[in-house]
Amino acid sequence: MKKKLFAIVLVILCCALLASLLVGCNDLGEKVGQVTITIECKTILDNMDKVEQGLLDNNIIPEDGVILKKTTATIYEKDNVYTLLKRVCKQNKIHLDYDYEAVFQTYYIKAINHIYEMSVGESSGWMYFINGMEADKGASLYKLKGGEDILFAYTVVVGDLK
Amino acid sequence: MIEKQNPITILCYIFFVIFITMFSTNPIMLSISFVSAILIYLSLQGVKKTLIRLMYSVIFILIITIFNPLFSRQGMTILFLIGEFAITLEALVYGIIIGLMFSSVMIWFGVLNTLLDSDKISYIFSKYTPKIGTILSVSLGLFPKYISQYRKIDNNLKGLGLYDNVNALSKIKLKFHALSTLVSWSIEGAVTLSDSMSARGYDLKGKRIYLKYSFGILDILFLLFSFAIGICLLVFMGLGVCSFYYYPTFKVLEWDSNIWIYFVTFGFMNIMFLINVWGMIKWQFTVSKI
Repeated sequence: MKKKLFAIVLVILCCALLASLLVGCNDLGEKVGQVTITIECKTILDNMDKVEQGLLDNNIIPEDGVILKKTTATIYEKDNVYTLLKRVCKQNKIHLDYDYEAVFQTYYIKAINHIYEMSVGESSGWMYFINGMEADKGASLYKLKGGEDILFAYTVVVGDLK
Repeated sequence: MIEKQNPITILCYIFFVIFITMFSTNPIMLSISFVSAILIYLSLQGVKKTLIRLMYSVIFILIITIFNPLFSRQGMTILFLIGEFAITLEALVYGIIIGLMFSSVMIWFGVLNTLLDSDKISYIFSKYTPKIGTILSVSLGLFPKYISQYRKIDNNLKGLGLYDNVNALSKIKLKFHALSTLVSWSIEGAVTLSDSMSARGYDLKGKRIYLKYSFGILDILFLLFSFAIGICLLVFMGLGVCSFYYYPTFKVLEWDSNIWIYFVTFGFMNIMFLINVWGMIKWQFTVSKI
């Protein structure tokens, strides 16, 4: 009886794991156009004294403050800023950490290239700009149409990116 | 020997030790705390109970070590990939460290539990907040009472033969039956308890509890010692003397000028164990050989 129950639970767990893996690789539809994307953390260079010791010791922060130079990326029908960033980071082998925020129904970018939120002082974190304008939505709520210029930038103090 | 000390001294000392354990992420500090906790537990409870504790700790550490990498994307050294998810070495190590921290805190609380029975807890609180002391000692005393009573009820049901040849659902139903019996028994018991307590004058104003523990010279010394060393260690840890990070990646520990903090911590955390062992040795020599 107990063995049977255990086996059933194990099978259900395996199914859940497989299903979650399959959900991860959904298709995005047809090609729509192209966008440019840049990732940089130039604001950190002026605040090197606030940076966490772990980032300094491992030379995480690039000397010119640019993590990803301006690159052109193809976007698809269902693409938003989050899926694009995830794909670009995977192609360029850049570390990315994110959380799903159920309250705002969007993905929150916690870290790019091991530089986490609050790593350089309490008000630091990642922001993104579309055509030079600060975005007013979460990354996975902003649908891309093609032709946009996306900039992910690290802020140290409020208002230092304008 | 250590059981004879004033309960307040013991409480202060163990709270300092637990704070130091909780605020440090340094692997050496945590190992020192774990080993010291095991040693004092061994001297108080014997080999068998310590082995059981150790087994639970190992299981706990294993569970955290398995689950932390599954939910953490931090870390630079990728061990292998599950789908798109990378399992990193740093998350694995961090899991071990957090498991070590939690299990050593739990063992320290176990030590506190063996040293302070409900009588001593009521002593600690009775001087300044007698109500909290009474509530704590009464409610802490109720748990083992309820557990033993539940076992009695369950055994009664077994003795009546109700558990024979029934399926799992009926078994669960019977367990709930035993639980509801326990609840009604406990309500009845609470009325009796409150009646008897009021008969002993617990609700009278100006009621005082007999205090059988006094503050000796050894207690004052021990209290001063634990305050001095404990606050020093906490301040130095706050200044980052033995700070250690695991993300984005950890480095090998260096034996630099801050080595002293490990020795001080080791001495501080083992002083109670030494007192206890000293008492045991003294007992061995003074006991009659006839």
